[in-house]
Amino acid sequence: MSDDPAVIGGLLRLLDEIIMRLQIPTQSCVLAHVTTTLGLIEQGMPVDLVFQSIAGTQAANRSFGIDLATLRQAHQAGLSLRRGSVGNNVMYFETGQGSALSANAHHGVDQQTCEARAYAVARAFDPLLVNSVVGFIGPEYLYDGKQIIRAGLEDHFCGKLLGLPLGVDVCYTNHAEADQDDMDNLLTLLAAAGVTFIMGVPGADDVMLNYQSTSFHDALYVRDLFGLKRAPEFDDWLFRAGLADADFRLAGNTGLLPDFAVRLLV
Amino acid sequence: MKTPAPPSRSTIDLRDLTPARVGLGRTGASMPTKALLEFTLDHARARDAVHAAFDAPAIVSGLNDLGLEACNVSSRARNRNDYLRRPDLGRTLDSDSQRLLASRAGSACQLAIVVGDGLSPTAVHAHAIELFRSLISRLAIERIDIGHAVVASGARVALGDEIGSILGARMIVMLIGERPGLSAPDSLGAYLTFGPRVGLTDAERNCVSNIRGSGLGYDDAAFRIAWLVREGLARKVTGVSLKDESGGGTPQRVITNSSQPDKTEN
Repeated sequence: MSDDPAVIGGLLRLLDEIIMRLQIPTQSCVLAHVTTTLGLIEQGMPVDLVFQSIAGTQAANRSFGIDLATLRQAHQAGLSLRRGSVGNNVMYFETGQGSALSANAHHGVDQQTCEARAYAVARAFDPLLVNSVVGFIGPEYLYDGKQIIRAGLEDHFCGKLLGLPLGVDVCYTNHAEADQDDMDNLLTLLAAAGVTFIMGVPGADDVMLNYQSTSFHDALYVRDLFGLKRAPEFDDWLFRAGLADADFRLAGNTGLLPDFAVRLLV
Repeated sequence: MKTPAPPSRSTIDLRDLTPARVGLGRTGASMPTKALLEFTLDHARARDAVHAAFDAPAIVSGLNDLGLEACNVSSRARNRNDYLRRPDLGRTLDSDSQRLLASRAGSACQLAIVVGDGLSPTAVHAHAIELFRSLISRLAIERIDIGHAVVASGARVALGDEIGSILGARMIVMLIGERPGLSAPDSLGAYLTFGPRVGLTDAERNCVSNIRGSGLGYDDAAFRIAWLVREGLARKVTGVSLKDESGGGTPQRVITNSSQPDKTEN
């Protein structure tokens, strides 16, 4: 955990090199404060997506150290790199019910309304991804599995109404009354409702931020259950890399790393 | 990809690179039973750490054995559910505790130390006294006296502000159980605040985090805390403008809360 520009810049270069060398049809993003990323763009670092946490009131955004002018500047800086190939959506926003209340910046307004206002902020900057980190905030805002599930569905609904590419970090902390079964439920409900994306974390355990999300296994489960396909160019890459078979299902389970991954280790 | 294929490596080799749950294997697309059971056990351990009963008398007697006369106070949170639902109650002393501290406050002191249960009483039971043993000798080298030692039940970090202000301490060190993760249910944090008074924000504190067996060791942690106490007292400030320059190792472990404004809630 560091917001040191040199560290972030090193990670951006590393990820860019991996994507270029292996020709993966994807984008990278290293989460840092938007002002840090702006500085890195000015240094010519390979920034595909500009990240920032946003909220639904001016005061809450101020507590994040941003305002709309900062976001506008960051958006323009991201576009100026001209790294888009099939589109020009260069922003990645994170949100979550309760952030305005937590910053004492809610003006007595309920947390779902504040959250929907955050989506209105996101919409103004033509984002690639808006991620509601629904259960991260803790039990003082969303107490148990039932409340987290409700809030996740509310967020999904509001994201659809506002026409946003909204996904959900289906997640919970260890001091909330929730477990991985609740996450399986929310994941399945969201997939049925047409969620734009979910998160992949190894084994669903975020070892840096100490909370639980959804695993790569979960993503495979939900694709199997609903017959959901990947982006065609990504499917094609998985096949060429030896990770998937021609029918787009996972390749045989040998327990061995594919050659390209072994080369990265050496 | 034209160079000869490198020797095969197992996916399990990835575990040497990270504490994350990688290389779990799969059954079809799902997690194998062993990985699932390990995850469930770790979650149960983290939940136990959150809900463990705080043994404040044992901490008081441990401090007495080290030659520190400690007293026992409580926040306004009456039970664990109260504590989890209402962080505001955990930031305020109950009236008996206010009276007790007022009766003990003599002339102003340099430093008061508070041990609070926080989100992991388990971490406090496991590490607080041993950390104190190292810290007392480090502070003695810096010629800084501990004016008061207080053990606080139902405590959030900001409870130290009220305790410090009643006792007239120039600086507060709050040792508190951090939010448990699946791989670290017993991690202790130290929060340092110069000029404690009610209403301060986390931007005005320094934090030494991840104090536990396989994290930051007692001697290293005590060295950093003592350095921050000395420098904080000399510069009359803690928080964003006091950077850790103790030279005690990688700077990433010492963070101010402001570097992650939306991802902490002790």
